[in-house]
Amino acid sequence: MTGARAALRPPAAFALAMLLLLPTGQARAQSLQRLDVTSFTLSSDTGAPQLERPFHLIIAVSVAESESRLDNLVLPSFFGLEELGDARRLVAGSNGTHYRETITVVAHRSGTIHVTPAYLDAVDARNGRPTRFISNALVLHVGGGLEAPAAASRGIFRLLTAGGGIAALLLLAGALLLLLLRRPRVPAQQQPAHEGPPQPARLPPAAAPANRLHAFRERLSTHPERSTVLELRGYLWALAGAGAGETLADVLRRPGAHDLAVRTVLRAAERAAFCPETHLHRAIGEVVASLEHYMP
Amino acid sequence: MTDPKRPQQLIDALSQTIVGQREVVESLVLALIADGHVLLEGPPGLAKTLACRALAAALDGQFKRIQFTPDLLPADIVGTRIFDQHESVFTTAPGPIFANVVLADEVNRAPAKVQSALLEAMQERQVTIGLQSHPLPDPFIVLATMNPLDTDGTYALPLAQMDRFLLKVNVGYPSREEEAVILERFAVDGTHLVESAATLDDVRAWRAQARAVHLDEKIKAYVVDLVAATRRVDAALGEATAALIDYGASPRATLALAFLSRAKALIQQRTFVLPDDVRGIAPLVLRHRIGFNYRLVTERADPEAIVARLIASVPAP
Repeated sequence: MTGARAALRPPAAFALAMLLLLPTGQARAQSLQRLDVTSFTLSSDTGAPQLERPFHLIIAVSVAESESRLDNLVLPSFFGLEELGDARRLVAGSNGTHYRETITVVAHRSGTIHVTPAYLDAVDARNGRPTRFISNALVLHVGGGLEAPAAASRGIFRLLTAGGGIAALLLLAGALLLLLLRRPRVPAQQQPAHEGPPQPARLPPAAAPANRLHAFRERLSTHPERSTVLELRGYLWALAGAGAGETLADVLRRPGAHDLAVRTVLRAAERAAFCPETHLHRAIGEVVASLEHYMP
Repeated sequence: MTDPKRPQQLIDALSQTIVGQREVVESLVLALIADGHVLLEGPPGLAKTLACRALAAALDGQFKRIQFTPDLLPADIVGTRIFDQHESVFTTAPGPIFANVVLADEVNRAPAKVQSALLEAMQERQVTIGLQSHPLPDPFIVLATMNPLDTDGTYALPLAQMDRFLLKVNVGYPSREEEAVILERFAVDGTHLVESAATLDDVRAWRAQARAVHLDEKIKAYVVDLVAATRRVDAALGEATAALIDYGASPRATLALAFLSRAKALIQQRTFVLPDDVRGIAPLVLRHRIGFNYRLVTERADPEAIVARLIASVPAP
């Protein structure tokens, strides 16, 4: 009897698990929060993290709605940093919800560390579409300049105490020379390099892609062709962090496209991309004019 | 001779009567330009009927309202032959379908035979009474309403008939601010309809202009891809969602997307269509043309969210 009961147990447990799991899976597919994400940033509290010195990564999300929690927020990945702990703070009120998560980390090796963007899956309240909101990424340069000289000086001290006078002096002179030669190669300011400003993605300052935009302007001025317009449009979309399948309305909703000059370029490129052939020259003329206004 | 009006002027005129409901107002004008019919679905009291009356008044056109009930007969809509005793001949008494703007109120309360008579008239733009065919006026637009909450004693419209509506608009509740304006505007003076914001000739001119709006090859491909996505949902949204859908939109949806995109471009005073025009009207065109099955209810899935995901899954050019 006991054996028979035991034999029934696994299928029964499996069925129960399926009953519990199935609705959960279905519910999850339909349970994205409806959010109007107004800002989503990833930052570091130090411009120049140092070896073995804890510092903080800060994820900040603001949404227009008042929410008691943010589901489906996925934190960034970072290789080469050890997580020591994290603290979360959520403030919800009539002016929306502000969520801030501070992760304390420490670097055990110097060099460049890439921190991937955080992301938040939700239904975009502005258009009702399921959307993955993505923060900016971070590139950190961990400095460890003091470690090498300290180790070298200890070695030199041992050599000197060992009685290798001239050789030690030569080594000391060599080490000093090496240090002097190395110094200029160390970057003057080790700021964390933001791969992009806060997401939804922001257009970089006009100076950054200036060369490409100048080149586009020249090409459009000399060879006003649709293919060049489409290439420029794709480039502007990429600058804005927009995917190839997004529409102008998507791009214009991004915070970086709030600048009037940027909007003018984006709109002009859109018109030139889809207008009839009879309007193409005039539309390209508007693109060139808007580029001239946009570029420094 | 007065200058021809712009579609935006008609929208502005309707907005003076209809508070909020921007999508409803714009959809009516879009359908008018694209020469199609509109299905309005929403709870009672959300100005669906008022919107239709406002459109007729603003157009200076003839307006007729048909309240659909279970005992309605096809002849009550299209008209009938009556024997004239004085002249000893049969004469034709045209039904209320002979108007520029026809409001089919609660269209799902009449049985299939009556719905069919209306929808046939919508499609053919003419009705046959006795042995004689009679063309319907031009412009001719049917605005049908449905109440999704009170479904007892209703006859659901078959998908094939839903397909004949160029677009379907879900009418939602107004915002708090809009409701305050409604109270301010209508509590004392009642409804004020703006008249003669455009003429029937203006509408005919807009239709000609809309037909000339340029549709780029890339946009055409996008339109086709959008409709095709409704027929291969598993590829776009996965098998779990595909199991909720029996069939996708018909080629009528492809044509509707093209017509309405052109109309939308015209309203915005453009001579060419942008991807945003297509994507903006896609939910209105596709939502009633996708055949959801019973699993939609049992899984408590939101059809609007599925349509939105389908549209989002198709990359715009």
